[in-house]
Amino acid sequence: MLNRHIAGALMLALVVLLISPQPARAYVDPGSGTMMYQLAYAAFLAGGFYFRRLLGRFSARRK
Amino acid sequence: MQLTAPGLSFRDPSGYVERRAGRILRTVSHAASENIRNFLETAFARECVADGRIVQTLFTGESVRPGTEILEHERIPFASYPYEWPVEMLHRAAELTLDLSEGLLGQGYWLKDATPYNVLFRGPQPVFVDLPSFERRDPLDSTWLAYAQFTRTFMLILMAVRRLGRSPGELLFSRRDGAEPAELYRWANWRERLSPRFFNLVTLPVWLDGRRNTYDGTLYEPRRAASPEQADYIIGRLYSSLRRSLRREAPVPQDSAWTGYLDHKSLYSDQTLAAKEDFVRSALAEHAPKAVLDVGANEGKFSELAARSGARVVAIDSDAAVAGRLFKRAQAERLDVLPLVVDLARPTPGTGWRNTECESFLARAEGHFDMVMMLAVIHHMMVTERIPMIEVLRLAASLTKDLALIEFVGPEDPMFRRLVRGRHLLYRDLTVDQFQRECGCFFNTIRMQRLDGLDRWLFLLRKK
Repeated sequence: MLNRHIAGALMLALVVLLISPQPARAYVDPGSGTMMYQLAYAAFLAGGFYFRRLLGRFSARRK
Repeated sequence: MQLTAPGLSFRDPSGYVERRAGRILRTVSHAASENIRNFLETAFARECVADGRIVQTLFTGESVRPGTEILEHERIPFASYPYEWPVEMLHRAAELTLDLSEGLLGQGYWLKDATPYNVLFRGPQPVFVDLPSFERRDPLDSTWLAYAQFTRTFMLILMAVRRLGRSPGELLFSRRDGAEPAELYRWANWRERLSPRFFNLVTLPVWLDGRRNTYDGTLYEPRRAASPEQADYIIGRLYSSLRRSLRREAPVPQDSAWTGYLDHKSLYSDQTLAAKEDFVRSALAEHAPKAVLDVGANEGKFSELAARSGARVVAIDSDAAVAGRLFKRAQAERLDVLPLVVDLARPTPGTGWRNTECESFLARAEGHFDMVMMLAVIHHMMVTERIPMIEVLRLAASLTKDLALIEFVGPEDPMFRRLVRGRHLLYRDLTVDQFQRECGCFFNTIRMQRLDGLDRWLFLLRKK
């Protein structure tokens, strides 16, 4: 129960952090968000790669 | 590399492209030349050059200064720019960019930039022309640096057109490097911002923008995977996710005031339309023009006749919906027709650096064509755009090297009267005789024919 509250609070904090406006700066890089998204997606895919490999080994052993 | 004069393409520091005596020449550093040579020797590149997806290139062995080499590219018959394309062509250029990216994955290469300016069209077929974009990839690198550019110049434009009703021409004309996620975020409402289509490519990047210090450049450093297989897997899946997004943003055929015009909105009876077709067909058969400009092409009935007679056709219309339909048909029926969204009364100006980087439509078109067709279009230029008839004819004469096929629409024509909207006194002196007199300044009449029952005449003219 306590864990669920903590997880909910963390989620809320993340959303607030993400949608809170950033101060405008000169030389702000408008592509940085897309790059950060790509990096996060790549990290997710890297995990997926290991998962598929593990799954492959597991199914090979069963055969 | 020192540049003596702005060429057609010069933003890549490894070289520049210029047109010299009708040849398309690319001067590149020796290192870039070696990279291009190695790439073109791969089986994938040879296959793409053979089927026309990549431009043909010759290593001339010439150089303008030590450390450089000149490459000669095949000449694409008529250069066009992304802001002149109907959205269907932008989508096709995006597909080609992804096709090549996916094909390169197993070859140890990738595209270092991914913009529609790397693509020209040969008729309806896209051709990738920017060879220095093919770059050797570090086998462990798992970050495609061109991802953000692909998103800005293709995906976000397609989404803005399909989801937000924006015009691709306007977006691309004023933005060389595409739209920013923040712009689409501003234009979209909350429901769209949170929709799965927008969330990954627009909303999340906007939320993440500026959250990391990018002054030190570490954000853009290569991220090395644990193995080449893992890097290939990550990049491959990234391409697949873009492919799915691209499929979702496939343009939907639009209706406009001009779609289906000849089928059910025009004045022509079956007989007069057949007579008009016969006139055009026989002119094409007699003179066999190799390059034809069809002005106000609509959905391309007469462009098709010209293409089937063996001509390369550039078909322009100010209506993007009809140009999009013509593109799809030309693609499906393999017609050599290049449809562009161009209004001849306000033709595309020169854009980019010094207004010469991308030439104006007229600079590309003048003297390029063997025949100019202006069928049922000059009354729009004269009445709606208020261009004097003699100026329309002067322009036609500058566009063609030889022939013009013009339909004169007189003031008694119901369509003409509809356009005039009460200002008929302005055109009281306009007659077919006056048209012929003014034609005489630039052309000799080969033959003319009145369309039965209409205040319309067809003229086949030869430039003086």
